[in-house]
Amino acid sequence: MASSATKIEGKTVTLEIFRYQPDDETEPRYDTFEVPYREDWVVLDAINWIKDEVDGSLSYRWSCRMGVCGSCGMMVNGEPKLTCAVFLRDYYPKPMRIEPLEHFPVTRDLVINMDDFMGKMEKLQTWIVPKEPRTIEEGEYRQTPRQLADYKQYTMCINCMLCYSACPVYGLDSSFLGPAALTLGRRYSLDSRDGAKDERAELIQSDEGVWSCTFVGECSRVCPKNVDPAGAIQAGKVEGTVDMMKSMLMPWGRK
Amino acid sequence: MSKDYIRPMPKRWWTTRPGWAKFMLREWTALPVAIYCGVLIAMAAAARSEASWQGFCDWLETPLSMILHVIVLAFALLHTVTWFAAAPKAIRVFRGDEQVPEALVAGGHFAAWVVVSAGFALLVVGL
Repeated sequence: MASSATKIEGKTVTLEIFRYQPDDETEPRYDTFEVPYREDWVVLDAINWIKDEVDGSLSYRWSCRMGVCGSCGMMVNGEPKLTCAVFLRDYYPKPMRIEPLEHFPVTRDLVINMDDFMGKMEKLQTWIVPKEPRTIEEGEYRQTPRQLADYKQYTMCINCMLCYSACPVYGLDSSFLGPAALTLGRRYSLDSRDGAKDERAELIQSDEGVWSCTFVGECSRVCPKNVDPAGAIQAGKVEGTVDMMKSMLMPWGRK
Repeated sequence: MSKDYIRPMPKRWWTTRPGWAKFMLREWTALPVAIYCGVLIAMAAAARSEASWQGFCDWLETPLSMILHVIVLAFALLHTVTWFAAAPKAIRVFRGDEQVPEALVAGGHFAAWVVVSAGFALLVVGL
């Protein structure tokens, strides 16, 4: 079924692809494809070639193919990667195993179910909640470069979820809010225009928040945008501790 | 969505990826360090009388004690190095609008480690 009818000239590379077709089968399988090897091809190019030339039923997500949209994340030889940013030449001539992002339910083939992640972002209100209602006439919200520097790094997150696949804590217990959602929560709480810091802190400092993190650090290593979620989470722990100490030493102060 | 396929994590999940194995090794460094606290408690207890102190010193020279010390030292070093290397993740320092590079924050920890260790070495040798 997986053998190609198209004759390939020149060098080839072998891709083992995780297949799950819930309508026909209850268990996943691996299909092997021979793909033309090209110096300038990324894994996503190879997968697109398979879909065009060999098996049109292969399902996966992709969009921008330039590392911005965050939708083509998959496991490449057991490592979470943006497949638009991984070159075949870095693995050639070894075969490559492509699987859907780990720690997520698989909907079909390489497509994962991301409802859990979306729900977590909603819970953490990963958007600006204005401190008070403001009319257009009142003008824009102003911010100093220093205020911007506080959270700017975290704005680079593209919601690709590679960090969730790198995180064993999330893999073992998906109630953990996880690297990206906690980082984005922090991003908005650090924003001088935001007014929902206290609401988010309740969640960030809860059992499903930063304190479940055991600081494996792999989230920051796999992040394609250098967002450093591990750093954001540790900073959240420090902040929580300082707040607790303050409220213990000065109970009359601000909560 | 009930037809979604769930892939559970294997029991020995930390053996499946190098980064996770490194993490587990880092966590396990706590054990030898805790065990060494036992040695320190034994030392404090031995200091009560001349005879028991001599006994403790004799034990220190046994091969078992040597091996234990080498193992504990190796793990204590790993513990310290991984801890200091992780420090910049928890401490974000800003100078003006720019974040101080992580290497500098980690470097500061290592430098402080060398200075404090040298101070202790001087104290011990000086006595």
